[in-house]
Amino acid sequence: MTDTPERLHTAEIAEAGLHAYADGLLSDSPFLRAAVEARLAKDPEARRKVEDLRAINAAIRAAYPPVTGEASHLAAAFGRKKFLPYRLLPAASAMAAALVAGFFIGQHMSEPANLSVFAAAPMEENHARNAAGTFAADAAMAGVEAVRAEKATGKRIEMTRAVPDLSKAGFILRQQARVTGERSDPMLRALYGNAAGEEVELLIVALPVGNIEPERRGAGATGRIYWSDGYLAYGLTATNGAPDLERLARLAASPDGWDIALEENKGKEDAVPADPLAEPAFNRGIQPIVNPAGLQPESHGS
Amino acid sequence: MNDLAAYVEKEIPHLRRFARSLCGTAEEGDDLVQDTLERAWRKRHQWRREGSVRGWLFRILHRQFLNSRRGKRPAPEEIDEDALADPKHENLAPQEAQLMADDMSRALAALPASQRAAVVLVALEGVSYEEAADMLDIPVGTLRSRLFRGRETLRETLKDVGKMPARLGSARLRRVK
Repeated sequence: MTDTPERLHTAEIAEAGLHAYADGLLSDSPFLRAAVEARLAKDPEARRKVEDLRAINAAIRAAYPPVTGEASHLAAAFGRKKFLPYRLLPAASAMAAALVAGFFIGQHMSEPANLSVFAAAPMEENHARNAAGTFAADAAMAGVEAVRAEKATGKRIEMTRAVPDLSKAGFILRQQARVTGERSDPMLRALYGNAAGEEVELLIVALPVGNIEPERRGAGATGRIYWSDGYLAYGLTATNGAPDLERLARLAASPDGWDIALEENKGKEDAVPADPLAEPAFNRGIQPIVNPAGLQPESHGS
Repeated sequence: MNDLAAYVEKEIPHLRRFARSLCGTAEEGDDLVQDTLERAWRKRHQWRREGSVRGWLFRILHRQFLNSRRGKRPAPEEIDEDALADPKHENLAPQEAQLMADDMSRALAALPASQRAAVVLVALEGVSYEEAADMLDIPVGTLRSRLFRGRETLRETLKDVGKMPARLGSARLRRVK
């Protein structure tokens, strides 16, 4: 008898049924299970196949039993940054605090230095101070140091492609842009506003130093809150009104504040793209970061 | 976040077993698990509370494995000696246990990595095909295809070693063609 496509298709389904039966996956499908068992009752070759498949599974389980040995070093890996050995953490934390504070405070106190802003939406009037750019030499140096650290450790630090969701505090993302200073150190700026007209600016820069809890530097309207998750440093400033920066910072620093992050990138986030900066993220409510004209993407070795 | 850490810690034995089966040795497997957990920590904000922690971690581990093997030549087959010392092998003579693990490890090592991952994941974790496909980040049809082909190759490879399953007290492997 010649196999027709229909016949081959039927054979494939029958084969799938045997595998699923051998794997114990038909308990929720009584109809399929009955069909397979009816076949097994009259087809000794199918019975042998199921026995073989079960024997293979049993042999694999015997060859790879559960690993129950000491694993504290592995458990500790969830929560540790690979490029910072434990013995260096205290010193690194102190250095990180100084560096992050210097970066954001320096940026806050200094005035613009040939900043390029790449945003699809026009800048609003009350963002004039930011549009002019305030990335000072300190900020540029911090960015350069981050790039150096990245190269030194051989690790690719992925500049975030999404920003925290502050909507729980009533602040909606108005604008998100990748920005760069004189030395092309990449940063991300997000501008949020609420219905009362209050506005905040969140700056994010790659600064692989250590975890720093949100901390306020400066007073009153000129105050800035900064923190770091060990890879990225964040600085939050009020640009209009007197919003509750502490609350917003806590929200932004919480992993729960990232509910809008990277859903559309599922399946891609752990691949190693040739150039992560060239791959825009499409998130709910977030515009993709457009790789600006004239900015040469960095090459990242895998 | 403490909840997530607790869930993650529970999955470490499963991750280590799967990693060893993919890498071939305990050392390489544990390195892979460590890389996986470090990456999971960095990506922890991507974990969905309604999602399976195991599925999320296995997906990261498998991607880490594929990335680490990119451009590498297939590793020479190696036998995980730790597996041979497991209490489950107590009913077998030491030589038989070694041969059994030896046979299966060799046969698995000869499979393409994609088929090996599918075959081992279903056998070790007892997950549904849909869950396994999600863990390996492939369509379920692809998972089935890899699973069936991998098992068929194992049957062919082991048919000349038909004594191996008998040692497990299971059915003998026989030529069916």
